[in-house]
Amino acid sequence: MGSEELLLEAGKSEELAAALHTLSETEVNGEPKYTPAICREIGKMIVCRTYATPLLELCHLIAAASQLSGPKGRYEYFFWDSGLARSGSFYAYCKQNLIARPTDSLSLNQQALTLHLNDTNFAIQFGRMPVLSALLEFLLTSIGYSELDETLQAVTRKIPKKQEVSACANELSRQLYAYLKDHLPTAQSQRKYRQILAYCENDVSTITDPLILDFWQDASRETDKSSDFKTFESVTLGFIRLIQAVEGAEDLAALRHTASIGLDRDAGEIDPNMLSQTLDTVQETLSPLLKLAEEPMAQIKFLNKLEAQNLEHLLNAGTLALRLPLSILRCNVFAKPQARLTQALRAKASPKDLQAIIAAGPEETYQDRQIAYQNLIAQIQRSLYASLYALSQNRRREAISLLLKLAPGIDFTPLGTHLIDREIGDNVVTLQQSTIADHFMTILKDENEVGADIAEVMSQAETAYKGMSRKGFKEAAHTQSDRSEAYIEGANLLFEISQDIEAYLERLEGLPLAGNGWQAQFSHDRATFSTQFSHIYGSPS
Amino acid sequence: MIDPSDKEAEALFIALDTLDQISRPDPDLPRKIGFNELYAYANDPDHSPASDLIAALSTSLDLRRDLKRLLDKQALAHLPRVAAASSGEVTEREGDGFTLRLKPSKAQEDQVYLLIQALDRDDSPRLLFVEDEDATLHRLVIDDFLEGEAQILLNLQDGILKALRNVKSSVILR
Repeated sequence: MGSEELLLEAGKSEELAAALHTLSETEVNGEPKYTPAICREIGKMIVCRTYATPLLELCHLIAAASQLSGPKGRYEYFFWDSGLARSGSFYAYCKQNLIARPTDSLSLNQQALTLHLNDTNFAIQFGRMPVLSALLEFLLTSIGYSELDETLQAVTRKIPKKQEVSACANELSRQLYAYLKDHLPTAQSQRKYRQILAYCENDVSTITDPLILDFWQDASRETDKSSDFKTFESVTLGFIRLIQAVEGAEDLAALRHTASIGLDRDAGEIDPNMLSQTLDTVQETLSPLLKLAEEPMAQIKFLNKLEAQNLEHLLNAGTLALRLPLSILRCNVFAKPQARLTQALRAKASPKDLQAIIAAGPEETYQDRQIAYQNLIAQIQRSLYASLYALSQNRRREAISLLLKLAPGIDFTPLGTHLIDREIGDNVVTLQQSTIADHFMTILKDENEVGADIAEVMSQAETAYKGMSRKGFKEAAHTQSDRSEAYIEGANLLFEISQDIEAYLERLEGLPLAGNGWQAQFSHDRATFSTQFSHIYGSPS
Repeated sequence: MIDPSDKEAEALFIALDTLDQISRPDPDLPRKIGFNELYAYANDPDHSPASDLIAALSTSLDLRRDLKRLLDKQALAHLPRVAAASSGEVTEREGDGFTLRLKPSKAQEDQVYLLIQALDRDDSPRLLFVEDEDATLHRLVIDDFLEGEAQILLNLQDGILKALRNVKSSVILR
């Protein structure tokens, strides 16, 4: 590949990235229309090329939406006049429109909208509609409304036949394939794979923090503008992805083997659905962060935008953060000054200005970053205690399991006495599980009933709730019963995140450091990065 | 040790790396106009278009074509090109049950009244678009369409007034 081709290849993804970014930034009344998990699903669908089935579903949904609208054929109303892309919004929209304009071609229940075609029926789950809606938004933004609307005429003008819907989906698939052919930077990724693999001599077990730093020091100095390895952040991510790919390849090979039994499959082809499934497994550590932005957890601001951003490097690396702890820390601290340098260079800053950025160094040290992680743990703890208070105020029995998780070491024996059959008058009453839970909720704050330890934890929970001013915690707790599921599920996710941070901080504690201390390590690394930045962005004149 | 030609590892790396690349847009690159924004511009009188949407509409033929198709599909009324008046400028248009009239203001010489009237329809248009001869689309919010009519004051310098007067332009009410 020549340098001109390399540059073209490097620029390929920009248009696609911009279209996906627009999708994630799309808002309805100031709120993101599509959740981060939906946007990620669209990204995954594109890179794994698993869009054929979703496009068939989408074509059915568009046909249904065309029957729902006032003047028939205006499918746009369904997608852009129904509010946030949530299953509940679509259900409400469908119900309202079917009451206003009943039609034989559609029916609905709580789970799905069914389109009655001339020759068959097709049910579309409300839970699928947010993703399908995002897929349509992406298609219209990237390929264009005029072109796609022309294709969609086949399913919007009248109630189509099954064959017409399939033909329309195939045509959309062809259009998307043609677009992606010009915009997916596959060859660039393939080149990266081979270069990184060659550097570690085809053995990912040799990948360590020093090896990543060495690679960056070599590769980032390439004069080729299209180099994939200018930033330390992208280099680290490249190595992490390589290890994940090699480790995940075993799962993928096993899936292929299972699927190929009894089938005459092309040995060279990898099933896109299997690839997509393996991708999910590899990146499951990111899922708690994505799930917190989903319903019902999105009703509560467990983490703000900055806190979520601060966790991205760590959670993106998954368990590899423990294997490459210093690289993650280096990314956290040195990615920002390098981003400032890149921006300054684009703005045609003078060598003197660039040198000033290099001399200023990062905004935080390694110790600062560790304190930031500790603060995040503390914030998560506050959210957990506050959730405990909200659940107990709404008499949800899940408060007890959260209490057990939050304070496993405290004295629970006083609570145990309430499990014993109780005498009421002359009768001994065997308590049912639900009665026990209900009883617990009543006594949880009463020190005489539950003992000092539990009463103290509940008091801390109340203080935590009342001290928080975030969405989901600032309203009177007993009025939040409809958010109980969000507190319960959110707490589970926060525990997972907190455990990942704690494990990482523990790993950092035992790390052998240059000069035997974090200050010395930071000074050493700062000098290394400053020198390298000067090499990359031009030595001071 | 891994064989560099290992298909599973390579496919997985490419998918992961590509997903990283397309999920992290370059903040310095121009923003892509989303269809959501174009739809709001075409349909929502309360939508204040961002400057980059206006800029993109002036430079991108594809985006203008998309907007035009959307407007054509969802229009309340089309008021097509008219035959030239004696002065060569249009002062009145009619179509699909609506009339538009341009009347100079008596109080201010540099201002003109645009009168929109429903003849035999109950619909209340909220937006007016004028497409001039070079396919540029001008947008005007109709704030108060009451009892079948609205009156909007325009300045002589307004691009939309020039377009309304142009015989080669057409009007869409939404």
